[in-house]
Amino acid sequence: MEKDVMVRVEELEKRFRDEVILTGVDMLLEKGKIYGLVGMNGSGKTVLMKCICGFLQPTKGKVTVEGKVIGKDADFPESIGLMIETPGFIPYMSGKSNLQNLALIKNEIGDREIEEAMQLVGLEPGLKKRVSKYSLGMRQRLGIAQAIMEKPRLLILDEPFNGLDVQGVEDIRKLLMRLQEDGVTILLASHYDEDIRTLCEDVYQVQNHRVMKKEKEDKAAGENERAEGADEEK
Amino acid sequence: MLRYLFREYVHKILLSSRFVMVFITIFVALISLFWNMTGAMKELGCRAGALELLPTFLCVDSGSLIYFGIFVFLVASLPKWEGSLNQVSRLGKGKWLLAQYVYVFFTAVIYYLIWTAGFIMALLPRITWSNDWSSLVKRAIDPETAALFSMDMKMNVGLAFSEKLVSVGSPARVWLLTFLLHMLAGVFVGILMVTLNICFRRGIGTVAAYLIVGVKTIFNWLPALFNNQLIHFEGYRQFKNLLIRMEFYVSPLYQCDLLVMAIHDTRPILQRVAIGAVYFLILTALVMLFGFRMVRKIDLCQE
Repeated sequence: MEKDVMVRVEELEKRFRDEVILTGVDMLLEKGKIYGLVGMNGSGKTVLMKCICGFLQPTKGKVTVEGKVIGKDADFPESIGLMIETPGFIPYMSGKSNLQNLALIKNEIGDREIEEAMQLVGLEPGLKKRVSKYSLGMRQRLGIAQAIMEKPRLLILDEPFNGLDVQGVEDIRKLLMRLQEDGVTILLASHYDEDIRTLCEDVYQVQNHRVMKKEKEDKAAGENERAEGADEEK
Repeated sequence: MLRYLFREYVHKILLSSRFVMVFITIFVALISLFWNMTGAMKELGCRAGALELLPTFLCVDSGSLIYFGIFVFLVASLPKWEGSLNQVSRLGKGKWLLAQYVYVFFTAVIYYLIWTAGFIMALLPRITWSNDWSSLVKRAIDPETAALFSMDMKMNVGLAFSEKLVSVGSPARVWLLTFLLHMLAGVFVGILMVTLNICFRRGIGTVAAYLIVGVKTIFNWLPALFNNQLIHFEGYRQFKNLLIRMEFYVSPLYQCDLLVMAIHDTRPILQRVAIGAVYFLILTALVMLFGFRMVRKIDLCQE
């Protein structure tokens, strides 16, 4: 079964000086599934994501990604795409130029893959518009494009639906489901749990410094609420 | 990856508002400070060499203090955390830290060139491109004209015109030696700053860098601090002497003062410059070693 595990978080504790942010966190993310992370603002969702990515060192416990202990066997997960906080794009360059610039680091992909990623998130690759002129939704789409362009096996997205219109949310949902079918493990964080209940197979809730797996009934309730909402709209 | 680093440096640092502001400030300040002097030089028929005035400015304590003070301000924007998680995860921690160090190096080189360009721009109407010491410097060190030189030239800036500095070699040679030492000193101070800002809290590195830059000036104030009744006590006097002797070891920037090196001519100047350069290289290597060891153990983003 271990070969199906993408991320394993064991007894993780994170403190900033004396302040406990997370404690006793155990998580298991299997390959090819979409997981949700919900919680209030400041509950520690982003901190947990940064610990999984390797940006923050756990005070206690460990994070293992694809069998490698982060911070010991590897600095960062080997194949990861992430969108945490606002990506620092160069404002006076076009979206495509920004992605080309980022792609230069690993030098694994070319223009074709970049254009493909832009099209997948609903951006026009030929658009010459500067990123500074992009709307919030377009920037969000570009952030997701940079996360998926190198075809990572693990995708970590913090509030990916922020700033997106209804069509945008729907496009990104479809995209995430398609990526899941391709075997990508996805961890999404949102403080609107309705947003991810329908999309995610398992949902983790961050509350009182702890992370708990939400019960299936909650998920089913979420699906019902959404269905009822859709009926009312009709 | 090198193409990426170069692009990021140009877009995020060289064209940043901080860099542009410093660039404009240096130019405007130098042009206004030398405005009267340029007029006086015209009246007296003097010209200044393109490369000779920056070294004379940097050999004055206040000049060195201003130079490194602004440099620390420039480098204080590093490392670029905000929105850089995507880059860091692609680069890896070690390469990311190396990139920050490379940016410090680029900044130290470009910063010196900006000052050189600033001096040339400020004195442009009276600049000579010859590699001989100019009539301005000759007038400044000639015993007959030296006494009234500052007044004649309406100088607003402290410049260390000295026969000792002229004896080091041609203006280009003096410029190159000053460049080498100031670039290496800048790289050391910048790398120390970036490392401390990453390993501890942002701001600690900046404070440490300003302390290093200020130590030389603080030591120069020592005689004033000791100018009191206690000076009659032998132990007190010895303590003062001890502090003054420590300056050479406590203040790294002492090692880039070409004029002091030329005055203390117990060794050939090139040997002293080489010692200074090796001194900075060793300090830089030690700080880098510390940085590379620490970067894997620390939180790599601000919370």
